[in-house]
Amino acid sequence: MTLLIARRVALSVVTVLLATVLVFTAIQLLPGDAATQILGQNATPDAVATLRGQLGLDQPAIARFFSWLGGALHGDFGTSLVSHQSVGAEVGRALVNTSLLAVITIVVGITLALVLGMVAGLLRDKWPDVAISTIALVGMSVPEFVVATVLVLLFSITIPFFPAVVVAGQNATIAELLPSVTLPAVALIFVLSAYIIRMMRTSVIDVSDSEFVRTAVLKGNSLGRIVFKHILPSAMLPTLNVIAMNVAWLVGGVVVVESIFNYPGIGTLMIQSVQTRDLPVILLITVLSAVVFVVCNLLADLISIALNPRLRHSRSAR
Amino acid sequence: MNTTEQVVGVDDLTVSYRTGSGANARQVDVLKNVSVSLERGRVLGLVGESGSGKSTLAGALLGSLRSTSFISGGTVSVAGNDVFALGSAELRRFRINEVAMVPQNAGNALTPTMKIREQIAESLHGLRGDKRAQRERAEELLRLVRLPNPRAALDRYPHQFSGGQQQRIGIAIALASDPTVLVLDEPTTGLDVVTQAAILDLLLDLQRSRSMSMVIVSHDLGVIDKMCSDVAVLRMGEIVEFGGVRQVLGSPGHPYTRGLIASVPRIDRPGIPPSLDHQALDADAEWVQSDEVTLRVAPVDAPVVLSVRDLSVDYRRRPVAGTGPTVQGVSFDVAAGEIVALVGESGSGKSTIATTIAGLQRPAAGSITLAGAGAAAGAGRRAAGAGGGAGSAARGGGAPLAATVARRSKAERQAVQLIFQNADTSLNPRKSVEAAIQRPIDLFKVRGASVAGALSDVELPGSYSERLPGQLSGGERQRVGIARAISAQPQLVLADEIVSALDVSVQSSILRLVDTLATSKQIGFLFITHDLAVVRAIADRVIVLYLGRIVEEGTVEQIFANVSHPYTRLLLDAVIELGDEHSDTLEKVADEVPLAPPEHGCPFASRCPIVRDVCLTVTPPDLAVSETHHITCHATLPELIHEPAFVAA
Amino acid sequence: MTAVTVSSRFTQNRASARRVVRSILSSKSATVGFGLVILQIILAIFAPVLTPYNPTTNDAMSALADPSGAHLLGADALGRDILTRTLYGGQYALTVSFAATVITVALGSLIAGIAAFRGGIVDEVITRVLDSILAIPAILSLLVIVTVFGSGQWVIVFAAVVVYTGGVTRVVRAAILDVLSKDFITAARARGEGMFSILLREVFPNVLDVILVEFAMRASWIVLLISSLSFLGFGANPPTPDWGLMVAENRNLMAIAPLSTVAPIVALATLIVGLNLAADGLAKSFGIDRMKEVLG
Repeated sequence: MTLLIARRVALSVVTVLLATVLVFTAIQLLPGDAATQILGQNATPDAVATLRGQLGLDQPAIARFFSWLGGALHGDFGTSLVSHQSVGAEVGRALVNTSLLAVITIVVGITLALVLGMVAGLLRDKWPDVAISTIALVGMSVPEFVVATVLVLLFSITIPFFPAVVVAGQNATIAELLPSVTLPAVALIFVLSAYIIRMMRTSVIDVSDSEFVRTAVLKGNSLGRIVFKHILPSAMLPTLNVIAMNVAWLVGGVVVVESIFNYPGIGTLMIQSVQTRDLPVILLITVLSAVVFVVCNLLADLISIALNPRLRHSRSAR
Repeated sequence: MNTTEQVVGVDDLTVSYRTGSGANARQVDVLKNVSVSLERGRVLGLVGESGSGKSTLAGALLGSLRSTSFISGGTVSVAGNDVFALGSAELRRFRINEVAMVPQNAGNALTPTMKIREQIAESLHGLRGDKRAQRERAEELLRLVRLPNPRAALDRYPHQFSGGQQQRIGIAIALASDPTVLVLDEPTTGLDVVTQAAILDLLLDLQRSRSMSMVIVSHDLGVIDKMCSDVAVLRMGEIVEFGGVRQVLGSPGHPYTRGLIASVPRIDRPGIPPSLDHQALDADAEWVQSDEVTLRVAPVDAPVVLSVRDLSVDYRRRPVAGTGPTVQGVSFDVAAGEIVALVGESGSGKSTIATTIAGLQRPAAGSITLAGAGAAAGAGRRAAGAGGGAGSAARGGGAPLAATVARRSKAERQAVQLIFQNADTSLNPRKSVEAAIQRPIDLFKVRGASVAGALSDVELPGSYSERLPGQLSGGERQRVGIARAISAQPQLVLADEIVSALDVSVQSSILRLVDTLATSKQIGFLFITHDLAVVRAIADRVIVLYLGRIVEEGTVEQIFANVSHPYTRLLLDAVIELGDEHSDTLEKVADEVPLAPPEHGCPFASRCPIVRDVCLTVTPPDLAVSETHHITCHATLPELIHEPAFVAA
Repeated sequence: MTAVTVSSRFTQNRASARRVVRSILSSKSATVGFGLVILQIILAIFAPVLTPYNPTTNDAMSALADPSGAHLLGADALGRDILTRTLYGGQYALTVSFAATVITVALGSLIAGIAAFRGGIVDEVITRVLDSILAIPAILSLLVIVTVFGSGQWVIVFAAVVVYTGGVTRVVRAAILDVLSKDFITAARARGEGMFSILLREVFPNVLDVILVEFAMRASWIVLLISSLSFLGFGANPPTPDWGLMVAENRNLMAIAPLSTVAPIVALATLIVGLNLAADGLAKSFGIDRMKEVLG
């Protein structure tokens, strides 16, 4: 079991590294580098060369990657090419804001999705199932920007209760941000839950049809016991992976929603950095996203191991 | 309490489901006007082939039907309850107090995420809330079903037990609520023969000591005969015969029962039994099954087509202390037209040997030599490298086959063909019968072979060539699988458990086909099976495998005669047949095959009743009973003599 | 003999086409779903015939016109007819998504076949690389690719292929592994058939169902992604009529001319709901667990 976990962790590190290399390489292909970007098209070649030297852009790509990697391992992610601030600090601030949004979305979204999915699965083909499945289908079919736009239309313009766009800047405190979190969070929860609801419904139905649930019913168990002891642990297993996938997706989904609500988080920062080709910022965001992806999957694996005795014990009794 | 009190009464029960929609909608009856009854303390057997409705009837006793089925007539009463009239709370109380079910496959029926203790405690309603009493009672129950190390088992999960152990746990759970009626759905199907015998002995003990009322569903007449006092024979949802087991099975009144009994192969009778002709039976209710058996005639002085020498296969990535390779030191020959049976329990390595011969598994040591086409092509390939020697097969001495199929010549691949156990997965569901059979003919450019010819060889009408596998019955699919193999005109066919999944009435017709093909086409068959009765019916020679080592080899008469390896004898004793005395219980040996063979000594030492010290350390020698009969054992011949399991016919 | 084989193969192809059509018709949601998708395709193709307006010509006179006989859904800030732009809007999304989906699914299936069949180190390396791509949020990959290569249609197609091939591979690989364990594959291997022969003759006909469902589902994701990209200003360039772009352009005018935002949203949602219904219906009538498709 320890071996199993160690292997998963090692593979996760490889995945993060590979993802970083991929994005680093892609950005190397950008026509014109940060120096021309900063100084503009009309800058003198001398000025560009000087800036290149200052930024270390005259080094070969591989050397730059390793020097970045070396720094990154010590917590130094370089300086933003645009704002000349420490990348760590800049991304960190955005990350805190995004985390606020993400935590609310994840906690509320997953709980809601699991309950709805379970209800739909247990009441298969009855009206609550039809209603929940329809909502999930809409959630799967409507892009985040549409949900967000409709929410803005509904709440901020026709019922001006929640702020439609965040006026606070990058340095806003959490207290300042809290009221403006509601609408972005609702938009994200709507989209996030769709697949989790579907998966939970499907696997509850699958497990309910299994021989061991039939046996549990024939033993005369109460409904509560059948659902919570016999069905749920097994039904959670496949759902966990979908949850992990969707939480990782959140990093991307956040981009659109943040940009609509002008929320000062990672997503807004990501779009800005791509527009200004701010390589160090993009790299750090990539690494963070990959880490989120990998950690989510790792967590899902660990919870699976906790839920599924088959993964915990080898066949030892014989 | 009245001793002849009726505990189960099924009266004129019809169970149906609806199929199709609109104008095509119709009602199909799974059970039709079924009436059976059971008195307290007796055991009722429900016997029938697949699709007979026997499991549906068993489920109905617990008030459980498939979600699409419904009762369209009649009543079920168990322990004084009209089962399908109960409200949901009453039904729960009924299931808690009156009935319990041991499901078909305990591996699927135990909740994988719950400890054994919890799953037993659920049924201990009298002890609710008292954890310690529950634990003690659970341990007691596990001891009662003779689960090894019951205390430690309480805190384990289902997957940590073998199939036989899971079945014992399933029985313990069913006993926990002390039910009035215990329903067992195919309680030993899928278990090895020795495990099956042990579980049935256990059930019989429990039934007698607690004079429990039981209902047993089985397709196996021997099991029903051993376990039951009453029997109901089902066919296509109807009861054709119901009565005392001795009367029904001893002097059957209905032609179906007679046909069913006659079609079962037996270890005490050589030859292939007649198959049950359902069409004739449907056409004429008075139809009488012929009881003519087809006697197999072994080829004489036929040339050898396959020689396997000192074959070893090792699945282990690195050596594990105390264990040996999966298959070790296996040597045998198959002659043209000969049917050689490879017998053993699960884990005996019999399928591994077949896949190795087919070139799909790389051997660790040893050689596999194919006479004829393989040799010629092999030599040609080595000499010229071109031409491949297609078709120019010269019979004669052989050169060893390459280890993997990719390095074998076309002629060598053509010479060895496979038939599989599961007819459902052996044919590509998207390809027609014609495409399946045509493929080897095209690939190997077989001259004089055609789809029509192959279909007629397996006694299927030529019109079947357009069909897809989904439009065939299980037996027909198996015939197409055989046609695909023989259309390549092979010298050797590897047949892996090809009749195990079939109903007994279909089984004997396939056996007869194999017999005909072997003889008429001079194909050597390596016939892999766990079923000794099938071996008795079809084999010329028999190789008994245990944990990947040959323990005994001989002609079919020699194997079933009175000198045997202790393992062969255990297998023979464990076979349960209709009409046996059923009084002896199996000698108390460990009924579970170890997971891996030992590194040294005799593989059977851990279970052998006559084990001695030398068996644990030294590989047993070859003991030649006669020129053709060899036993691998440290014992002396007199020790290996036992009462024959039957009187020779 | 060969003629027989050819004809039988032909009948089989026709038979499987018939099977697919039957499956679609047997499911209400698949029928509705495909109906919606086909409707969108027809509207996009015949947009020039259906409307008298040019989608990109400005008309200051009718700027922000209310819905009327002349402009059924009104006009946007530049006076362009909203209905016209919505009808034309499908052209971009449909072409790009269709091309991207075809390539993604074909490439993903091919890689899946090789990975599953070869197994071992080949499989391990392919899985690892694809997982790493999946670890980068789709939107970030897209943004980087678009920034590097510009936002031409083929770049968007390429970007979608990069982002989604991994997912297709995972799903199809799992389905293929399941088929590879069957006895008829063992029979083919024992006959000594090669990898491509086994994949083409034996494996792919049996995973066709999965691939079709995958196609419908990926198409819906790709439409989603491409419109999001346009919305963020990285996809279609103004004045191209595109739904995502239209929402972005008009959402500030939501209070004044709500239809300018609602119309493209409805069009987009209809298309994706159609694709999802089609995927659901297909999966159901093929007996595939669609959620396994998501997971791979």
